[in-house]
Amino acid sequence: MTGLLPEDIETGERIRLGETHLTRDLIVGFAAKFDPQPFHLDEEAGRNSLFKGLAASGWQLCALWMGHYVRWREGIIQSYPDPEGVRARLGPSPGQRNIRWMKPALMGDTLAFYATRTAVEDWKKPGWALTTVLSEIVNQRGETACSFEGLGLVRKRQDP
Amino acid sequence: MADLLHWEDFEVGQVFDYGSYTVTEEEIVAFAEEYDPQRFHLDDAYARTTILGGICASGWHSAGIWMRLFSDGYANRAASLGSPGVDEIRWFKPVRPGDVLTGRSEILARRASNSRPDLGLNTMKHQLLNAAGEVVMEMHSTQMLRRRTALATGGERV
Repeated sequence: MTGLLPEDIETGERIRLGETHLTRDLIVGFAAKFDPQPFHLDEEAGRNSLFKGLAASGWQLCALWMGHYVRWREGIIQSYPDPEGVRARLGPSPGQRNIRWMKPALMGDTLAFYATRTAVEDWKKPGWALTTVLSEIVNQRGETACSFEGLGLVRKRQDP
Repeated sequence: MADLLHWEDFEVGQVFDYGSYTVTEEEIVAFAEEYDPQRFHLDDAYARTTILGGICASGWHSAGIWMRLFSDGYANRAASLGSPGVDEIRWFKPVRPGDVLTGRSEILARRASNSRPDLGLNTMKHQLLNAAGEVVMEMHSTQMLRRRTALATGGERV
């Protein structure tokens, strides 16, 4: 089975992380704090916009993906014999590339979240690897609403 | 809605500075619990033992804070129609409790929409800066804006 440490990652496997149903409260709750544009706050404004409905902020889609990914990783960590040791080996992300919002994500949509680790390479800091993850968010009609390529640091397996 | 800025009102090289946002530990933890529950975003004592050296905001939280500043300072003052995407976003420095963040954007390029005569696009570089003037996050994105005059009726072509 594919794992979290650089040595255990099988690239190319598309992992289904989970799904989220977009309610009005979820969309408006995020938008009121972080992206208060009319088409993210108000149904009528959304209908009159390019999105043709109350649309989730693109940043909320990215953040929802992250939540699914972290919870999926936590699930795998629980299956390792040394949970604390493995958890300590996960690092931050230097950035993301090619964030594309291809379709609006509208109130009532149910989104599925996917991750495909596409590359694992050495990082400039010894003991760390840089992983590349293709993130995809797909609606209930099978259309990709959003995708991006994330970079993440992962600690290599350490000698006991 | 009287005086919204339209695509024709912008020019390449324009720089906008906007907003101020004070980050709290409570907010960092609340965002992380919902959207990025990695332990270094939730637990300062633990985070001090990691490569990050202390609790810091999720990168997606930083992006949300930037978006809030950009919405208030730019997007909601313009006939903004959203964005099809971001070419690259980079997180250079951790965002910590107590940080006071501001936004800065520069217009790098402008072009008319190929498919919609009433739309124009701006390519922009955006930065999120801390009080020391350090860039904590930077990205390049495309913004869609309504044109004051549609191309077919004699609008400016770029």
